Amino acid sequence: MTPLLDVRDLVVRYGTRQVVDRVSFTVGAGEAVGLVGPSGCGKSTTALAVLRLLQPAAGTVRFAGVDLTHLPERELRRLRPRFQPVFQDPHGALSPRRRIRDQIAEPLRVHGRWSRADGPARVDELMERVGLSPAHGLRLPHELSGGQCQRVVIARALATRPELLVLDEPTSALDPSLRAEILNLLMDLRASLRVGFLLISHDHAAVRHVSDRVLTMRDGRLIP
Amino acid sequence: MDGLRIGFPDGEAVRGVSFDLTAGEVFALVGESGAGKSLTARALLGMVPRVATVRGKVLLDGGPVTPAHLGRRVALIPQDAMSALSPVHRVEDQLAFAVRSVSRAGRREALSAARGALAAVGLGPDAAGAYPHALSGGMRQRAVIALALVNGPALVVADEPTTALDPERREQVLTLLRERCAATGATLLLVSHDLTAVRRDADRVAVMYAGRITELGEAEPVLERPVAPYTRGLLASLPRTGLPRRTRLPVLAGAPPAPGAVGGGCGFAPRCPGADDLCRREEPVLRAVDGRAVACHHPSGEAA
Repeated sequence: MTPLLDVRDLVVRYGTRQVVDRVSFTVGAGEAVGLVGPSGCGKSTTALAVLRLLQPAAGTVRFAGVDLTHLPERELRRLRPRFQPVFQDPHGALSPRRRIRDQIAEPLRVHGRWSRADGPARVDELMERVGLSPAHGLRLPHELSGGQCQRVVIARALATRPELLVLDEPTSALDPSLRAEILNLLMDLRASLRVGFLLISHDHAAVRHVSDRVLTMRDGRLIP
Repeated sequence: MDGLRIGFPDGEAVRGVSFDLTAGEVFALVGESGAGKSLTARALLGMVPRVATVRGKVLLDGGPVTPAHLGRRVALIPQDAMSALSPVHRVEDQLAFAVRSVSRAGRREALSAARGALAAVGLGPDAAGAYPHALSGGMRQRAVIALALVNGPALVVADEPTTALDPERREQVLTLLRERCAATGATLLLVSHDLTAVRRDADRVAVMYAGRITELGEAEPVLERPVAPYTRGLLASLPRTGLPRRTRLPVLAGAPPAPGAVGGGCGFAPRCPGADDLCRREEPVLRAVDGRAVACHHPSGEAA
């Protein structure tokens, strides 16, 4: 069976510096794979290359069997709804000027899946799934706590019913008890939606707790 | 520090905090955002926002803290090293400037003191002569440590000094900070939500919730065998080895109260699984339980 995500011999260079050096791994459908390592080891760069937010120098990133690394922009855009990112700083990932509801709806609009008939209900459902009340939807990001903003970002990432979430340090900006809440939410979502995770963090304990498998990177390489 | 209260227009953020620091110890203030730990620490430096009203006593060596103490007797290490360093001056010049601001040292003498202080934190001549932007986050944080300690303060307040760093560097920087404080005899007040680091580095710890101390004592018993329900809940929510994987972590239900929203009773009562009428009616005061001070009507390990 083809894995959901199949990364092979991935190489990323910044100028002449090789930051990701022949990294290979897979994430199966519904599987949670953790990627840990110290800052500068190349784990976030790996995430960006998987999302094709930057162009790798060599190697392949297959999502559902399709190599993303050389896919034309049009076709890439058709696949994007199926893999979505969640980044570290939720305040930074949200527009300060738009209501929460509208931001959760954004991916639906961008990918042409918004309809006036059932769009609003879908936003309500997403907010409920991540533990936000309808009242939160009418607020602006600065009126929510960091933990609530991270729930918004997760709801937005789930809007297009992705098969894979790429989460880069999703709990690093949070207090301990909020971190536990978000980790619980991630585990619940996995159980109910069967969504796969690539979970990147320097917080070994959190990653170990949530993931089926944990990969460790150092100096651009996966260490066995 | 005795009976510190810090009020804002929307309510009190620190509601009666008292503790003494012993010369040379490492004392940690822990708790969630909004618990009042940073404000409490900054009150020790006389650095609270202008809109705040401060009541209670903060004494350093038996006298009030004044702006003249800053950088001499007390020093701050902030979370973000860049905010303590000027981007347009070489690191060694910034330390030399700090030396000259409190003493009559000559230019050359101050510079050599600066280089000595930087060498003591592992920054050689190259790093010392660099501008902050050229250094890594860990090196910058070392430079800030050297800057804070260069005039031999009696008290160093480190406000989340390593939150911006990854775990390995975090441990190195904290170890360095603790060692440098020990070497100079400085007392270290560490504000942190990193309970693992606090367990490793602090002699004593005060756990704050809703502007008050809920549990205060030697770090090891407080963090290994907490008796206040809040401390217990906070520690239980940490993912750690030995816990069954992919199971839900215990969380504290609800959210901390907003400043001004605390009623007559215990601030933690609305979230506490063991709260009763007494807890909702009367705010508990710190008292001795099992070798530490606890503000709770029903600490665990005590017969009801």
